[in-house]
Amino acid sequence: MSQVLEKISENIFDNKIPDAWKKSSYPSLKPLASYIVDFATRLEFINTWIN
Amino acid sequence: MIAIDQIDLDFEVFSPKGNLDEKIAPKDGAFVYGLYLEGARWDSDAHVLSESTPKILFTLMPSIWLKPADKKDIKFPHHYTCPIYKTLDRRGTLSTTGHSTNFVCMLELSMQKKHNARHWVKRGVALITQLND
Repeated sequence: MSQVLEKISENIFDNKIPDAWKKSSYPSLKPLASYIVDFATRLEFINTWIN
Repeated sequence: MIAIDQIDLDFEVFSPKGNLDEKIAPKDGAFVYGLYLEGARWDSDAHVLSESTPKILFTLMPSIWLKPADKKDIKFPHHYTCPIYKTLDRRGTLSTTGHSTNFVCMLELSMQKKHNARHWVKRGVALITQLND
């Protein structure tokens, strides 16, 4: 396992958004669990908006 | 016809309830919802900013209508210029376009006669698009 992957798994364990994800994500200070929920809602919104 | 550099945004808050129908798309502009107010609360009856109630840090702002209009027709007589941020840390880095990664724009909110902008600046009143939990 590379260092990046290890850092990601560590962050997931700590309920934090992994730094590697933050780079490509919209700004958010939420803990990982709420971030995922929020992210799913955003995707759903954008999908309905496109259609 | 209005020249592009003469256009600016006018804001109208959906309060008291039912003065606008948010289910119907506006003729012009857009309705926005889901903004949180920190440092103050919106008094829907009086249509002004009010002091926060104890132990409540964030309140959901009612829907706001963003209306593009001619600059000279937009008047904000007694308003607090409220910043909108994407996250609660209220700071970001400047991108190559010169925009902040966290600041969205300024929005005008009407105040009570007894208050002035200073009063709300001291409380750091701002609108936030998402909370921390």
